[in-house]
Amino acid sequence: MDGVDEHPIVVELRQSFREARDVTPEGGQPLYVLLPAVDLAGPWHPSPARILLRFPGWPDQRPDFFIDHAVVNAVGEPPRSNSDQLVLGETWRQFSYGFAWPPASAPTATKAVLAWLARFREAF
Amino acid sequence: MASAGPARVELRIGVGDFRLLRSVLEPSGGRERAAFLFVRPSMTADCVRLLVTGWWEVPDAALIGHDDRGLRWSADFNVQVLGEAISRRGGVVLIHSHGALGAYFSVTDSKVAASLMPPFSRLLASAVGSVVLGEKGAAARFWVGGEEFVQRFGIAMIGETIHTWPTVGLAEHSLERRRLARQNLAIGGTSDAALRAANVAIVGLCGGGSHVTQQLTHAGVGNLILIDDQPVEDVNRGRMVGSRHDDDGRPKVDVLERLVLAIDPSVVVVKVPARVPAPSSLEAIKHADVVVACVDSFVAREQINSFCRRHLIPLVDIGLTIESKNGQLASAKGQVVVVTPDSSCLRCSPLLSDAVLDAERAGRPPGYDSALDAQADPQVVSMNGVLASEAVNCVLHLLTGYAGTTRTGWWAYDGQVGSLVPCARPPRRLRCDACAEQGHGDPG
Repeated sequence: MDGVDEHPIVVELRQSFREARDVTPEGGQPLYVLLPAVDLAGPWHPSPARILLRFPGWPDQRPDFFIDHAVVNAVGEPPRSNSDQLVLGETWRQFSYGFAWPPASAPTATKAVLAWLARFREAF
Repeated sequence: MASAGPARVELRIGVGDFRLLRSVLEPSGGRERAAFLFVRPSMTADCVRLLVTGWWEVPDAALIGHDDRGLRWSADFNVQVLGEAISRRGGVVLIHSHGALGAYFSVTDSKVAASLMPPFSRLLASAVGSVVLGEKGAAARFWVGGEEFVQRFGIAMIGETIHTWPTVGLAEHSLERRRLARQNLAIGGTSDAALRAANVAIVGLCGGGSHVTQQLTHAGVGNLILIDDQPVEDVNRGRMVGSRHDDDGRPKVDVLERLVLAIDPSVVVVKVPARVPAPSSLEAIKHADVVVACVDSFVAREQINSFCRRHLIPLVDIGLTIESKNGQLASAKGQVVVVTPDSSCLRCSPLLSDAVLDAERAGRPPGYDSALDAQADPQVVSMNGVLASEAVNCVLHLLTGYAGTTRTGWWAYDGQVGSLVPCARPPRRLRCDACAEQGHGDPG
């Protein structure tokens, strides 16, 4: 069953982020992809951390990005302008962060994730 | 040798599914039948809830024998079952019935369970087990990580009411509380014990939740889980039952604990000063037999609905939207909704449509709710009280079945004209995201 009928976004993300896997529930739901171990920049920890992506409206709409609830900065704070979100039965952290989408060149899931991850170059 | 593990295992299943399962396992005449239940775990510190998400009957084609020693089937079928359980990221429970012969493990039953379940339990992400149904009870053995563990066992059938099979310690007229004598006359003598044993979580402790908490305490619910992260403010005291003039700044959970214990000091109160979906709030909700949601946002309502759906916990939701124009009441519309595994959910309905949720999220981006200028909505204590009282009736019916008849589970409230009307429940929606996660339990 490995690799059979895998969503191309999952295949693409696995090339950039180890062990990316499809966690989409049944019943015609948008694609959900779990990145179980993504390195975070700077003071953010724990690193690597889990990231959950949701792809409604792809590629016109950037994916929704959820970070592991445990991730905090050097002074123990989560990213600014954040809220707890229940996704797939677990509490994740969502935060406000703007970037241009779609990008000037062809949109890819990897570009979207890297754009989101730029948030963690800021200390707060 | 069985070891100590979680104190209790509960198999949780929709009542419609259980009826169908029994009709297969207990046909009139014919051979013994067995089935594998596919389950997902919902764990708390003292209880393993196994949520039934589907089942396969052992088909005739897989049988290799049936005699007075029992039913035997091919190893190939076991492999298929194992593969399906792995793909569902859960466990399995083998179940069959002895009918009138009673709930016990025969020599063959024990051999089959002991040969099959330990290896299954080493490969699967959940406790696995074997259950034998009898006319008046059920016997069960469970394994996790290759080891059998000792536990108390029950089956919770969740429908319009919650039934536990077998019922334990709910003998009629035992432990009756004199203050509930009139209530017992109305809703039945076994209600006292059922309510005393029940765990009810109330999310949101202000306009609706304070009424609900007060009434459930008077009604005899023995265990209350109070969830709210806010302190009392002066603007709350116009509608928060139990609040006093000197409570400003005091956590709402503390105020309501005080209210509860003043009515009945024997109630076990668990205070959770958190907001759904903070991890502590979700962990608390998992202990509940019923959740009552009295929250003031559609997104919060959606998350509670989703979580209860996932863990097969019945939900009673109340909400009220008041609009005023030029200082006059323009409309006061609300609802009381009961969601059970057999019913459609809030996300199936226009109440929590994508448009409603998107509009609220646009108006309340991440971080909004902690902002000082967050919008305040109109509220009236007496209108909240109408909805809260009917919500309490719903909880009582879930726990005791007192109404004895089918209730729609959906009421529309109009506070302007003064009506609370039962109405038809919307059907299940195709591609409902909450229903897609029904019974999935803990994240895999």
